[in-house]
Amino acid sequence: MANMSQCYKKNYYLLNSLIKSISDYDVISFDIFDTLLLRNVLFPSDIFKLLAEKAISRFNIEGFNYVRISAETDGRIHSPDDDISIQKIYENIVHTYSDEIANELMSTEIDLELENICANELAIKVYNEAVKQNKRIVLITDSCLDENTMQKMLKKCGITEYEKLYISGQIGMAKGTGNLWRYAIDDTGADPRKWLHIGDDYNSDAVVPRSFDITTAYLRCPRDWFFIDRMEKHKLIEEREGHTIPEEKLDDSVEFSVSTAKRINKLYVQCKSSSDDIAISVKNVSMMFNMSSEKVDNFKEFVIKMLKGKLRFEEFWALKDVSFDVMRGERIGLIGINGSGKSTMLKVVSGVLKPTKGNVKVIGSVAPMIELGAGFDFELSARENVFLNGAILGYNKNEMEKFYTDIISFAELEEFQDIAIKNFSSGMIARLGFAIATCHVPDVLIIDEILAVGDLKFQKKCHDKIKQLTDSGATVLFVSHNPGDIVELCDKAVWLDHGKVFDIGESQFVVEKYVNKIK
Amino acid sequence: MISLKKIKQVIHGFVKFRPLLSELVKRDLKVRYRHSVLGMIWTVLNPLLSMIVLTIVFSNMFRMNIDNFPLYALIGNIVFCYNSESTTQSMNAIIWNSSLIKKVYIPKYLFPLSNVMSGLVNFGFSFIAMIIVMLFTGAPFYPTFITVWIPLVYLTLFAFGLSLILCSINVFFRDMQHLYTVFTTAWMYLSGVFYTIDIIPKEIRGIVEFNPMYQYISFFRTVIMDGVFPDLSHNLICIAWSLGMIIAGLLVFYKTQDKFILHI
Repeated sequence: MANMSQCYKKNYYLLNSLIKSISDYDVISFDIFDTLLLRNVLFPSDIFKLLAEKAISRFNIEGFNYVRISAETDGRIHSPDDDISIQKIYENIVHTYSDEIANELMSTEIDLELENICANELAIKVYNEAVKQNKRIVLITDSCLDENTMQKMLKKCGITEYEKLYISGQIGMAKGTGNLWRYAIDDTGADPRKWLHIGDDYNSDAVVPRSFDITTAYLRCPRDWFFIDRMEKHKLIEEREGHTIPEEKLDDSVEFSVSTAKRINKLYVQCKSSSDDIAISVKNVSMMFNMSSEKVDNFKEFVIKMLKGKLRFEEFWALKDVSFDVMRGERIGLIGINGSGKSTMLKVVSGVLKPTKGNVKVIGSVAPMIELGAGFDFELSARENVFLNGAILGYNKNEMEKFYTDIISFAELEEFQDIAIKNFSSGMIARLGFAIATCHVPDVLIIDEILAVGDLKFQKKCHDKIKQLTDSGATVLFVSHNPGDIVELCDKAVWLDHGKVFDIGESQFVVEKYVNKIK
Repeated sequence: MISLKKIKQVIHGFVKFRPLLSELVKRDLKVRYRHSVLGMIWTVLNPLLSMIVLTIVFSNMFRMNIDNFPLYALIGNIVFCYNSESTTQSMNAIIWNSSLIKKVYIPKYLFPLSNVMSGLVNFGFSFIAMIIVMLFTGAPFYPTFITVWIPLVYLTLFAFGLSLILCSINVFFRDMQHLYTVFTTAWMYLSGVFYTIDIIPKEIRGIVEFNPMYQYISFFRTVIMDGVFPDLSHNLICIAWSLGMIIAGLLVFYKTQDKFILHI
């Protein structure tokens, strides 16, 4: 379950930036299941299997899980509402079994639900921060359980300070249809634009509330990650074998479900990240350039200008108080119109420019791909330039010797290794530059818009290579004008506008906003 | 101001970029003698030829009364050239490498340092020329000959310190290059490259004695030609100049290096 830490990291990065932006919102709402609380079963319906076991041992009733599920489906079909409560479901069961047994089973189910949850410490961190900042906290969930049970569950995980609980089964409206959202917005009387929701369901916790102007953070559920992991592995095996193979059937016993879910949750909670995990920390960075109307670069001019009092500089702030953190392994894209400070930001992070104010910390080796072939000596041969350029990037000779054949073959320059590069075409030089810059996966990779060099075929090759590098676990800082590239290659996006951070968030959402704005 | 952490950072940076330093030195040497027929042989030939010129001019026309004048002038010449060549080269180090400095992070002192290092390599070749002359003129090899690395360390520190100052100033005022050419000419005549200090009028002898290059050159001559290791005061003067220059150089360089990029 190697991917569990990846899941944790993704959530951790997201939540870390959420904690910082909490102060911008009035209302913070949370989904409950799989967000604040994690279930100790692989599928929510596995609870019914556990229930069926109890039904056998206590009342000698077989196959109760099917009865329970069909009771719920029946109840839903006959109800005019979006969702129904557990009491309503068990009213249907009364027809089959006695009142007493139905009541007993209902309370057993509630007990099982209570038993099989644990706290999601990551989401609770955000909750705690919201409590600390005295925000209005609202919990909103699609569930058939009653308010009392829900309160008990939350209390078990230390969640007590919330303004209101919206439960679909009690109100008769669900999140997925939008009704519950409408109801909650009316009920709280809050401005949806000042509302932040955190949940794990892509539709009901992200897409639907966004249509009401609520800001959402889509948290990944570790159990889902487990399945994605399995699917990817399956796909990998298929690719290797070269033909489709039937998917290995998941053990559908309750024991497997409970033990696997418990393991996942335990692993997930164990993947604790520390502050060491920050790869790039940009703190209140401002960058000022003096723009004199004329460039003064000799002493005579300087003295004359100074005596005449004409030595005036115009201050130009390319970056104004920019702050953001990039976690290890995170891929961040910078977007913004021309002159918004993207390239300056890259230069500050790569250490080429020293910020006028604030500071930048980068942990690990950095490979800047700001301009290809910076430092090529045109009199030297391709071979000599590979070693010179490698040294510029901080690699030693032995390392470069290892990379050498790969570089030359990637650049497709096997026949021209010992020819001075002044005789090369610009495409050949660009290819060589790209091959050297990408010869090794560094800890931190800084990529400016240089993806497309050479002919179409080589462009494709470059693009694939960049994708491979960004997927390799390196921390990536990426600048592009192509929103599609940002969404494809980055987890998070920072939108710079006139040197200031305009928005930070998941790349898809920030890019969407950006594209709409510049249209 | 200078914390331990920062020093550690600088050392770490140096270790990481040491391969670059050797690549830069190699490039320097390759580029200098490219396209010439004799190539690297020039590094040995050049001081020999200029020594012949100096010897013809000074021992025949001016009738200098110095024992083994060819060796005397050659030592003066190669020592002075080491300093003047490496500082003149380094002066443009930042400007000529601006395309790199603007795009990639590299400790900037590497550029002047690489120029001083290639100057040192050239000095090594000139030193071979000197040994050839010593063999030819039958000059004795004294035991003190092996201490020749001591003045070389002094001089290298001095040259690097001066390079740091010159390349920093040159970024802001390009006039420096032209001024320095004139300055080195005057400097050479005041360094006792091809005369002894006795021919200088007493009133201005102080200027020559104050000149660090005169001190370094005479240090070299004392160990190579006289077979004596200079006394403590001579050593202290040389050390003072070297340390003073390297400290001043580092101060100037570190104070201004963050602004380089705005002016290149």
